[in-house]
Amino acid sequence: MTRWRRPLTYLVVAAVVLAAWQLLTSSGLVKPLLLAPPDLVWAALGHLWQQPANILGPISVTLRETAVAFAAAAAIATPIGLVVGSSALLRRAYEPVLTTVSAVPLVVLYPVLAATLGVGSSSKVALGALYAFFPVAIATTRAAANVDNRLVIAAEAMGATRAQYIRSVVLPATLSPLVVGMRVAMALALVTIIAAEFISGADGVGYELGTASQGLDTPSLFAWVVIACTLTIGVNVIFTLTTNAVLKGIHR
Amino acid sequence: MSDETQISVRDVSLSYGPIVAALDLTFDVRRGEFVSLIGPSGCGKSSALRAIGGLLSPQTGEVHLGGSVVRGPRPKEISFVFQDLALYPWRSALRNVEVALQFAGVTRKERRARAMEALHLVGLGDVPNRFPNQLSGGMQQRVAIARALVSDASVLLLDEPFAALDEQTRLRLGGQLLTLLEEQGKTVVFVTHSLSEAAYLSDRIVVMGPRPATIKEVISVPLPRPRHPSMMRAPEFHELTDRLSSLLFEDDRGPS
Ligand SMILES: Nc1ncnc2c1ncn2[C@@H]1O[C@H](COP(=O)(O)OP(=O)(O)OP(=O)(O)O)[C@@H](O)[C@H]1O
Ligand SMILES: [Mg+2]
Repeated sequence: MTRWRRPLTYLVVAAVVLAAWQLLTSSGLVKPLLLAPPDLVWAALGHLWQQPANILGPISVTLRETAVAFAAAAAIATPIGLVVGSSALLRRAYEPVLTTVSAVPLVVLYPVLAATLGVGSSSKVALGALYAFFPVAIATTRAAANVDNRLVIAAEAMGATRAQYIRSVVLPATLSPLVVGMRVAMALALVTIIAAEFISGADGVGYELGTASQGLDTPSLFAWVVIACTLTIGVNVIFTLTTNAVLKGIHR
Repeated sequence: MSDETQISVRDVSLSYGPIVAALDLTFDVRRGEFVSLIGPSGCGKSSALRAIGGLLSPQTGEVHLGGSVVRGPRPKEISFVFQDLALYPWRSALRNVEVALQFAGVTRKERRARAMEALHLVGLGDVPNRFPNQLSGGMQQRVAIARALVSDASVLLLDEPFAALDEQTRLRLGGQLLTLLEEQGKTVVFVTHSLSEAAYLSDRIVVMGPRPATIKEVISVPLPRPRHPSMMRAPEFHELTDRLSSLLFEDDRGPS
């Protein structure tokens, strides 16, 4: 019974939201042009799905860009975070820099990126990577700084070199917070890339959202909203499940 | 035991910022000797071990090891068992022992074999793949001891390695450890709160006073080697533990 309690609460809330949505639209309280009724959105989804490539094509473009952006960001941010976090001097100097820069709305750089890298895929990947960089770098720095001091002293006494110390003490000790940072980074990269596609794209989920929003075709706009939400939630869930399994494997 | 001095602590004072942990410690440890440090909690015993091991720089004075001044960790010559053990929670017992050799650059195959041997020595040969949180407190302490024994270091610094055990088990394990260390000719500095443990295992006992610690007395143990549990019933043994306890408790009596 307890196993089903959580899914049950999700179902109940989803049903309530859907019912309210349907009620608002069919009662005429909200114009269908502003908020499409669920049954029409469902029909629009079904229409799109008649040619699955209509949906899967943009999704695969967006996912590919996200994967590249995330991988690049994680590959650069992890070593930087480990090195900065495990040195008191570097940490004092650069941790504030990381947190401050991460608070800048980096999207203001998009015009610059678009001008230098073109409006194609690469500028979107670059913006996504920029957004994904900071959560990973900050989480890794913090985690590396918080490594149990007793383990640090023991490694020092056993003569660990700096590289051995980072590889065998800092990295395993920081793995869990690192993964949390990566989860945030992955979600941010995805959202950023969808937004960039929306602003100036020729392909991808964001581009489809943009096209649908200009066409006064409210049901299909909402169909794409549903697709985008499902995609972000799906990516997050899959990432969480895989990393939990990997962490379990490493820490066992 | 030879007459050669291996560790020499000279007028060493230790502090952590404004906190003074020890004042003017002076004592020697000969090669192959077993020396215990006893004293009230917080008197600076762990700090003294850290200074000998090069993990804490003396405010004044010097520590000499094999003739040269200790200025930092010397993993080839010194191995530690820390009071808080410092086992890596994500490593199995075997891999916790291996880590000492890994940092020393020993090949995977050799370090696995040597680590397994060290686990056997401390009686944990049957649980190499358990993680620290799956071991009892006493078993964790034995993993830490195996990790200290696995290296070739000639000096062993042990900080209350049997604190988690009952008096009987700690004396039994202590006796086994002693035999092992005698065979390997290791020099040992051993911190303990147990007077009978200090008396049973040591060649000499350094008695420290309350904070900030100074040395009150260095006592030679009048028992022959090798030690045997029956010696704990000898009159000399009781005289010694009585003397130790009166030294430790005399500060509590107040002005006489
Ligand atoms: N890392 C540290 N930072 C600041 N002060 C410390 C630190 N470690 C120890 N001290 C202080 O130094 C003094 C001596 O501590 P130490 O750990 O050497 O005592 P101890 O004799 O080993 O005590 P116990 O028997 O309780 O283990 C204490 O006053 C303690 O508060
Ligand atoms: Mg201590």
